[in-house]
Amino acid sequence: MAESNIRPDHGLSVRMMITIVGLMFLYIIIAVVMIQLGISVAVTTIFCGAMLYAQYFFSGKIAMFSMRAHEVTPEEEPELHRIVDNLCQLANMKKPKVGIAEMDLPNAFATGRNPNNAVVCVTRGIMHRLSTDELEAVLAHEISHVAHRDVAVMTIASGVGMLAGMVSRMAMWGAMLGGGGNSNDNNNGGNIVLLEIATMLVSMVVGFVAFLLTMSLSRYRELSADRAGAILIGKPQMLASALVRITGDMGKIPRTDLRKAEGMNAFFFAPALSGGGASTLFATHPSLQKRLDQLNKIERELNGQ
Amino acid sequence: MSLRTALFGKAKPVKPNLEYLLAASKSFDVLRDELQLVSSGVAGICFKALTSDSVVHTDEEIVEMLKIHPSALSTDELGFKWIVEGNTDPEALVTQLHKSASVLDENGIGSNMLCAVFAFKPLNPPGQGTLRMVYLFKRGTYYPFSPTGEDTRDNEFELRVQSFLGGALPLEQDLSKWMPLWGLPVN
Repeated sequence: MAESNIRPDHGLSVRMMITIVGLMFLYIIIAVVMIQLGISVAVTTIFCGAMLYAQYFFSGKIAMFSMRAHEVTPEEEPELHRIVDNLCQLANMKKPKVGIAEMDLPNAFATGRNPNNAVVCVTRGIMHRLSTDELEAVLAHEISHVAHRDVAVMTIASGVGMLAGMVSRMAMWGAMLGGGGNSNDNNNGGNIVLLEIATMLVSMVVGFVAFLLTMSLSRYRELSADRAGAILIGKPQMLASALVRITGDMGKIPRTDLRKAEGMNAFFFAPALSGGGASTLFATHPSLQKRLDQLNKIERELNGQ
Repeated sequence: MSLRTALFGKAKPVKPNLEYLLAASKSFDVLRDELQLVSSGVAGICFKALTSDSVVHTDEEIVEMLKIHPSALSTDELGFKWIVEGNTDPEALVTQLHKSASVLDENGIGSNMLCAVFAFKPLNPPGQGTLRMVYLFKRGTYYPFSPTGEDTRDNEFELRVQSFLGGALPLEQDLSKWMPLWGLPVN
């Protein structure tokens, strides 16, 4: 998107290149492991290729589906479309599709493999919690993700992790079943079990490295999108305010009526086991303080200090 | 929660915690001094009429056992009963509400009691902020609820209230339990 007004971020481009190279390397390790396991070269190539292809082309649909999001028309959500229209005009870029996820958790995301297939999506919860200006700032952040084309890299990255997980599981079952079945055939059986255990370990390491690469790129690209989005609309403090509302304590305060929650037995009986909740969703993001510090710095720069 | 409860889903009804209900009066001074909010003279108890293991009480029986005016008992659109009491003396209002809660508990309605609510208004109208302090009977904790419209609330103001009241009341630490009560009859 050379023609878009969203500043290219060279730091981000370099990191994305490094991550892609690293991930490709990991893909090759996985493929080699699969071939070592006795799976033919042709099957391995097709399998890895299909995996990448599917990840790349269906990532948008998968993300939308897992967030229970749906696309909305300008008639259904005029306000949301108006904000996105304005931002795209400011940024001089093609308007992405606009979606809404019907959940109370305040969140927003951008998905799609390239700017032509991009979707920016917000949850119902974030729309209720933020003012129009704050929502605009959040959407500017998401549109920057689209312009930076970093969604594609994240997609490939999560693909490696998934593939590594599958191979390690295959090897684990292979080792367990094979070990039991061939126990009288000491020579051969023992070797296969060892090989499968080794495979499992290698794919676990690969998966872990892919995870670390992805997380580190993810945190960087969030800061990068914060910066680009804040500069696009020239109001860093609006994004800061929105971040406090959705990632700080305020994001935890629910909007579901106490009496309705009671229907889920939450109050009349001993509380159910509760998980991590919203905080896990933000694990791929830099800390709130780091993001606010950066936005404050941009604010000072914009004021010429 | 015990392992057995987790496995078999059998949970006993929790006894209501009335112990900290009287502590509500400790918030009055802080709210007046720090946030210029005073009791609106109205407070209420919200409970569910039906349960599987106890007698179903008719409205007449509830009015009778609490010795209140029939108009003080109402049913909202979600099927919950509200006892709304008024008293211009905030200390007396707390005592009055605690007494009603105790009577409901003695009559087997205890495990159906959801919350008690105390309403506050600005000291100098119009002032800033509307506030309800909600007491959860099952958890024995309070949280602030500041409705600004039909289904909107002022989270910033609620967090400010929290920062001032921490020393005075047992506040609900889990913010995801600060559930709103839209359109509640305690104003």
